[in-house]
Amino acid sequence: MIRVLAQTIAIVALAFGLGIWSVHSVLETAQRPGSITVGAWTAYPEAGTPAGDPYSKAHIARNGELPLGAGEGLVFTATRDSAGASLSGDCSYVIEGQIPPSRLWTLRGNVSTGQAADGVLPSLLHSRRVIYRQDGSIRIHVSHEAKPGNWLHVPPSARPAIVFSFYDTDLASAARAREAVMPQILKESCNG
Amino acid sequence: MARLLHLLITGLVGAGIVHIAVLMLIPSRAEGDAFSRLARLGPEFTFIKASNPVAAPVLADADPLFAVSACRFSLENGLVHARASGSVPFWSVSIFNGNGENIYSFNDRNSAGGMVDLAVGTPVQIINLRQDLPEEFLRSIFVETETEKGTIVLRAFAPDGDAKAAAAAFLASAQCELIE
Repeated sequence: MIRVLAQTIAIVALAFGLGIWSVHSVLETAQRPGSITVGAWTAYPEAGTPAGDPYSKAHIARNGELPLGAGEGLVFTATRDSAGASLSGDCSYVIEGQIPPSRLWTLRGNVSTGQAADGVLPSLLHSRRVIYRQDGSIRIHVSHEAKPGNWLHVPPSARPAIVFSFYDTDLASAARAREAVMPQILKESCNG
Repeated sequence: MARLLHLLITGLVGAGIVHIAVLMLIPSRAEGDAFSRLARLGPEFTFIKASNPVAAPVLADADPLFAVSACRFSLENGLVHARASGSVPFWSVSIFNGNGENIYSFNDRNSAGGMVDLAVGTPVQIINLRQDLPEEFLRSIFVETETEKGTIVLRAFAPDGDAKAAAAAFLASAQCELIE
């Protein structure tokens, strides 16, 4: 009797523990189901639509997001550089290359709304605030130290992510997004 | 040994069931989702400011360079007519249905005269409206939804001083009207 009870408790504990933990861990990963990857960048073109997968639905509800619709734009996020190494707040990076066609884009580190919105440091860049190269490509320094040219400031100690949002773009379907030409994220130097 | 294996397999199958159940329950049970947060900020049929640069943001993933307003609506007593006008470099609109799914979105390039003018209703409400189209709906974009509740989200690009003021004026002009 006691043995049966103990076994039942063990099974239930295992089922609930593992079941809840696994949902949590999938929702927290940088590349949930439903993601598309272009180089170092990840996007969720179908998140928030009726065609969205259950993991995206749960993630959006739990985090309180209102994802962009296809007619609005698409957001790409990077937590690693183009060599595959995790982004570090102690390192300087360069975002370099062609960007997908869009009417407007914004670039930021993982600062939350409110933070740095009116800051002195350029922690929020957009398409009208950078200098383009001759061929229309971009070269933007991402660093906590000031850099010449285009510079995106990120806080030194934070665990950085780079968020690249494109507005009014035809990328916003999964098939198009997969073919997007995204710039590379190259590590320049690291302190300590 | 066989008993232990049996125990383990039963536990793993149970974990799979719990995994799916939890995943499916999160969207309906979450209290921190955008729509619940908006509901705590104000009533239906009013555009509520959802981007706040000072206090904690209402929307977790919002682009800090955008000003956002949202209007929750209910189609029980009629359809909803949303309008806004102003001169901003970029604005976009999303309509979310009662399940929190983005059913339609567009931006200022897709709209007549660069103004927000849309009517959201059930298919029956939209057909009835179109049969004898009132003048104020002549330039409207019509969006049909089967669910009774929903939310219209308006985003305006607000990068700096002047544009911020323009975006604020644009969002302040936004109306979200119940048409019975």
